[in-house]
Amino acid sequence: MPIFDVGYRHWEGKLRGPALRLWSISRNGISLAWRSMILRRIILFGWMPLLYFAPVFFAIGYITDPEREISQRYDSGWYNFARGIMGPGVADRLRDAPESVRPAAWSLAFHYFFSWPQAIFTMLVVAIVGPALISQDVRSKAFLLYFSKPITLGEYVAGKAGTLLFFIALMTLFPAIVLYAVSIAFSPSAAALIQTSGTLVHILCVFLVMAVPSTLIVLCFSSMAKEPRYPQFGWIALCLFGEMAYGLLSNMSGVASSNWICCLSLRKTVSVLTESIFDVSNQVSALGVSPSIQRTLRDLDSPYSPQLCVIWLAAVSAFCLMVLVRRISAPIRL
Amino acid sequence: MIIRLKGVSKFYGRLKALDDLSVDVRPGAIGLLGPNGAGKSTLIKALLGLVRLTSGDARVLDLDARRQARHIRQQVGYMPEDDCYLAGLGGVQSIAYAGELAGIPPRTALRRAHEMCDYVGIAEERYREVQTYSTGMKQKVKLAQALIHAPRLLFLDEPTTGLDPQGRERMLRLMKALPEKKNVTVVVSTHILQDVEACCDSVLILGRGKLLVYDDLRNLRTAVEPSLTVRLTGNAAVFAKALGELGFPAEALDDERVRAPGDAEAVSAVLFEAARRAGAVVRQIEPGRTSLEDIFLKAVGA
Repeated sequence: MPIFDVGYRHWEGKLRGPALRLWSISRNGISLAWRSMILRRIILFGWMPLLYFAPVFFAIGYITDPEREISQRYDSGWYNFARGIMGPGVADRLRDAPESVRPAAWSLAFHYFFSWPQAIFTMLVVAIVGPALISQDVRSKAFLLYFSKPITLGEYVAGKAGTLLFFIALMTLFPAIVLYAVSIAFSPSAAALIQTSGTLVHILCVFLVMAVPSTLIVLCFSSMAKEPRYPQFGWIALCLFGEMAYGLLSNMSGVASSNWICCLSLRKTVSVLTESIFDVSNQVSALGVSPSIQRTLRDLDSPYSPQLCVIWLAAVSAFCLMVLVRRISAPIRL
Repeated sequence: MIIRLKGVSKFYGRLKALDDLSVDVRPGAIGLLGPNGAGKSTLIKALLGLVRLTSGDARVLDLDARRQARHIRQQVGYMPEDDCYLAGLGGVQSIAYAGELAGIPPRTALRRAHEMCDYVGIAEERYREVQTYSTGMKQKVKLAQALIHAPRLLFLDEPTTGLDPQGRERMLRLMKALPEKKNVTVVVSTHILQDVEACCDSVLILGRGKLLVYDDLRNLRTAVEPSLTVRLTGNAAVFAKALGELGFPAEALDDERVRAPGDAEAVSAVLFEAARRAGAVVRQIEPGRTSLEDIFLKAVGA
């Protein structure tokens, strides 16, 4: 028996707008996901590629600095090394106008940064965070708790997507921005900033291309199960089997040149678009790289159409959104 | 009027969940009754704007349920019947989160969540995860979640399900206190008629999506035909039969009570003759009082 009980008090304060309510959903998802030790470790490992790429960008800045003697010595060992590895075209450009090589080098580095390490870490993060986001609400019948409050279906989906977008940004957008800032910081002059002004926009575009379809696909999977392990398995299977199917078909004569096989792999589809966003192929071919380097960069010479990839990702995303909306609204309508 | 329905219908395919409902609901504590499938939950969801009405006009707190659903949900609290909770959150966190969803700033929501825990009777368990709670505790959390944003109207769907006697008593006290002391209108959807009798001042009975009854409980109890309830020592069934032979068909309510419909004066004139014939002793005579169960059964035609 309480000795003092205030009881129920009416509250009349200023309420926050829909955007902040949406953020509440995202923030709650972030704090719940952050409890996972595995996730925290993967995020830590996800930032490791910076240790490799930061020196690469530093080296690019160093080599493409017109003020440094290294690029001006025609007969230096470095020049001969560059000529041997990259071909006379690139070596001559580095000698005559080193800063002109910088945009292509940056684009190439960012392309690889997004296409391999960050793409893989993103898939892992999505596999850990995404599956539980809606499936737990399905299991605990929490939809009625959400929708009895002034929350719309769109806000609910956006709030849940916000959680996943945050973690994907943590794996792609934020490290890329850090990388860009490091590159600018180590650049010899402010000209680098002007020369690569579009890079931040390109990074943002790549982030959206990576994040939006992944988010919608995994949320769609998540809405279809009560147990997070099923959507998790679905997502891993999609990534893994897609990559295997692409790997097999891309080495199979007759099919390898088809422009649709990249669509089998989500990573490759995103990679094709990343290449297109950074305009890597055109920039690299304009440099006149040696055939050996071209062979190394053979991915850039792929037959895959960015337009087809855009259509494919848009179609998959739209389909997943449609299923997602139906799955969430169904229990409320009954 | 707190709720105003005009020709409200909701069809799920061919199934009529709500059939041309028209009613003006006054503030207070309202019991929403009806057999399974009567349309109670559909009506609540329609009033919250969660299901789209097939036809008709529904207004809650003078807001259109179709176009102003968000504004309605801002001012209305809903405690669902289902065993639902927010996974991974502790009791107080989950109540504060509900407050944030309603638009309360996080700090205020947390402070108010603690107040709500005290109010509904959640002690140290508030820091435990909700999925570890008993059914009764989850009911309390749901009530607190429905109340946190200070609604003017509260829908409670089976609020006493799963509660122990003490918990039920406390819940009924809260349901009674909210309209009386805090000016919050409470609509209680339940199958437990005693709960409605204990805390509501009006009832709305639905059957197959139609409105069967809506009135004050007091009016409903007096509006039915006059009768006397006789408590006796002896065989109630034989006494009822004897009364019937004297022109007042009566029914035995249990082993020692008989309900005799009709004018009190006329019935009482023959009571003792019937008792003599039945070999019973009349111990108490009181004016017949219709229970909510009688009203309900009569309304649904059972």
